[in-house]
Amino acid sequence: MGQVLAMKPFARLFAVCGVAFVSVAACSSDPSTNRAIANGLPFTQKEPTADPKFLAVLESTAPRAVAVVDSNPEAIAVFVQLAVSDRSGVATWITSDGAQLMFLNGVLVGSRGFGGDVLASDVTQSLALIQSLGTGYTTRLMTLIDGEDRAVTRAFKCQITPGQIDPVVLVTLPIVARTVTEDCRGEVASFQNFYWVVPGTGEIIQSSQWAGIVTGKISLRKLPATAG
Amino acid sequence: MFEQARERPWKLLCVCMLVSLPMLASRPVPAHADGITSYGTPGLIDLPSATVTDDGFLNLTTSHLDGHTRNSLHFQITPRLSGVFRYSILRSYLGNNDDLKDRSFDFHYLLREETAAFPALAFGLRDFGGTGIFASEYVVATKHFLQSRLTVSAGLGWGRLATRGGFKNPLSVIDDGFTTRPSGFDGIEDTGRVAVDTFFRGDAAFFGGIEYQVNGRLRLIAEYSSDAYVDEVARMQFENNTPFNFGVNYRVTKSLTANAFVIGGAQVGIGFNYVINPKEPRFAGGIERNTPALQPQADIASLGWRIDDIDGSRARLNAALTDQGLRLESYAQAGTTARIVLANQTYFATPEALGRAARVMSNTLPAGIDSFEITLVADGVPTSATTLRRSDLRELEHAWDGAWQSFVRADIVDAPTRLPPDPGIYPSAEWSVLPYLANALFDPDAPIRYDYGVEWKFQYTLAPGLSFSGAVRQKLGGNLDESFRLSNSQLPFVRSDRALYDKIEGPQVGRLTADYMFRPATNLYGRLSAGYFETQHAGASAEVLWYPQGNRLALGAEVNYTAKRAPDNRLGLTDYRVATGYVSAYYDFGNGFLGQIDAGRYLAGDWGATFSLDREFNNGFRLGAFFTLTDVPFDEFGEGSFDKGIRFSVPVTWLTGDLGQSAYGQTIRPILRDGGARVEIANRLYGQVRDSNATELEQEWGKFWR
Repeated sequence: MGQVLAMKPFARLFAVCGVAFVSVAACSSDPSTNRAIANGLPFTQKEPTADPKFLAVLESTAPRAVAVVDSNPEAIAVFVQLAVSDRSGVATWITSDGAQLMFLNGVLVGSRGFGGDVLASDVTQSLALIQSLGTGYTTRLMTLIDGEDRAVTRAFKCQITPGQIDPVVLVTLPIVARTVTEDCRGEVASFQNFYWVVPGTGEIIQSSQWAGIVTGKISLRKLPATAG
Repeated sequence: MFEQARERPWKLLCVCMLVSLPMLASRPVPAHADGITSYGTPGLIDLPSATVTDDGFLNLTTSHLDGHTRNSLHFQITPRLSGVFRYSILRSYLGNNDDLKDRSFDFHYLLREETAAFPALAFGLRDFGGTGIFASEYVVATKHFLQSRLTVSAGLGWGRLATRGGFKNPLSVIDDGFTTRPSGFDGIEDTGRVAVDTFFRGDAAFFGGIEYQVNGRLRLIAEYSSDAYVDEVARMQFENNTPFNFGVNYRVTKSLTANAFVIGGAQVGIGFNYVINPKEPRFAGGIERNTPALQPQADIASLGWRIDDIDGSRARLNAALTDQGLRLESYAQAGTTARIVLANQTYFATPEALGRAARVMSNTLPAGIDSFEITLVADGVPTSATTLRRSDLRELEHAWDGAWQSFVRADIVDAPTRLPPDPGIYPSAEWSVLPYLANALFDPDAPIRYDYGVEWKFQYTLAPGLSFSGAVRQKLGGNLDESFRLSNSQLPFVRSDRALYDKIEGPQVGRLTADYMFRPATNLYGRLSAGYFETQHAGASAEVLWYPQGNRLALGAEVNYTAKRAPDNRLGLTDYRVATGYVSAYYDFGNGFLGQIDAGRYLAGDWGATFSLDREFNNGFRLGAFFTLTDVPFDEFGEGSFDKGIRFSVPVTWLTGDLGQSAYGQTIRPILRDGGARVEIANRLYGQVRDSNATELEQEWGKFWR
């Protein structure tokens, strides 16, 4: 082996690089190549890293929520509000791994980093009925990114129906809320969203909402500002 | 996008393939659960039917009878047209234990779709350009019954599909010439020509069959075959006792189907079919993170950033763009417009780089700046400039049609000049040391040969457009050097002695060039290169490309003067010198179809043209085919008659969903010979600048807000 290495300096480089793969994974000036190698190699310890933007807002008093993708219930994530648009009012929430969800007054209008993301939505009709605990039919538009990187807008016909009073306990704080069901039908999918709405304020403190074909339903609950 | 024909950096392929397998296994099934034949085409067991696979689908099929193997790649080129490339091995077919290793091509075309009253109708050409051992033509009708559970097909075959139950060709009423079919396989030198003079000639025969879908997984097939396996019976001790073949398909996963069948009542066969949908990457739209969110304008204003503090703005922007994997090459302001030069080294879809850069600019530049002009560069050379208004970004960030509206409001123009680079940007260096895998296909002694090792790649850029780059490989193992076939070409050995170059000991300099890329004028691009272009040829090259922003058509011209490299000497040259050159036309037909014609003089001194057609899915998955016809007569060219092949390229992002610009690609030629050969140049202009042309930006704009 020693002879082989002596004969072939590149073999030595290869060996060095092999060690580098396992340790720091730097075999290129391109960080995304290194990351792909590090993530793809078996038996390497993947260090849990939190998104710096998430950590920054976690330090603040920004609102936060817990979320779980229904198809993967063991993975619970804490989302913290990162920014609120001064034009649309849409709030962008971020989790520790950098994935994002966008909400308009508690109704999900976007996602980033989940795959098959919801790029944007028009939920104004539904939102008005949900917050006012009204009944009726609405049109909801959702623009999804497809497998060919195209932004494809899908229309859904939704029926909004308020339900029973169902108190929600936020950590130790019981809050009176009323359930609202949004039953949507569309060409590519049909889904039922559930909202727990505080009567009077219209605040959505808990929900279960559809986040696109790939992700499916996401369940969310706000955390009180003091918790966390 | 396509790299050198037979050598591929291994890079992340293995890892990515492993990652992607479970994903591929969960693809949806087509509405009609129609079958794929042992030839890889839509149909029953051996016989075709008038069905198609879903548009864009790829089917990989392997099928085995005793001593008779067919491996096929079927691609649904358009909703009606599909093509097959097949590699078959027939044991002892040539006598004396000599196997026939055969490459062949098929076409299958759906003439009319099925209606409530009438069946679907299709025709096809099987093995139209190979040895002709499977050569046949057919017209077939297919109708579905019982909610598509039962499929009935009947057709008329010629050639091999009329070797049982043949009768006088009905087409002979048109012309007597249809009555007899010129003989087929005359010898290996005759292969590769399109046998137009045999199509639909000679006897015809009926065939047909039924398929029954028992449940979601199980299909049963029975067919009456007009193929008597005459040559296999005569040469390979096949038995063929009955025209009835029976088969069963079992869908193991949504992508993988296992097949078993009996041909002629005597030969038992098995096969597998694997389907890939290029339109469905592992994660639609990717799973990359760190998407910038626009901060409210009031928050930005309250930070008190001064518009005249250009250094401060540049520093904040540079840090934020670096965090996004983007390189800020220049920053300047003109009035209330911030102008930047941006190098995208991270995102496969250029609009994603634009969208992220624009949002980052909005979050880091003073409130008094109201528009952003982003000039994209390729190797430092400006390509296009996109101007976006800050207010539009804020208005459209969460608009349901924000993707399309933001494209409409963006001004994309040609950028023949650029801002001078900021201090410290040039010179710059990029490098990688990664494993590679090189292969050689279809050597008669070993159908798959390969080498593996480690490859060092670097690019040192002195100034915008001016760079030195190279690729050096050290083989660690493999058997490419075990090929001892000598070229029998009558032309200068410009490709056919390729195997000699794999025998070199120690590091192999695959590429080592100095390049200068520049913009001579608006809509024009230029390139000057000199050095070792590829393993076999070195020299000097000059190219010019006309490609206006948003144009479907691009035109180019190239002249090269090259010497053939010495196979046994790392940097030495032989006496073979040749001037080559081409005029090229590139056309984007829309819907992902890209055509290209290159006409000129090739490496062996032959004159001719190369015709290419690729289908590129918007996510970067690409498949194509090409052929080159030159003034070298088919006989002089040798086996294959003319140069042709298929090629594919799969982006790493397609496999993993994560960031990256690299792709795994391969060109497959039935045989590599000397006619129609072109020097490989790593940075031909069209491939370098197409990604940032407005035509391509529009198609990928869905990624702007990712």
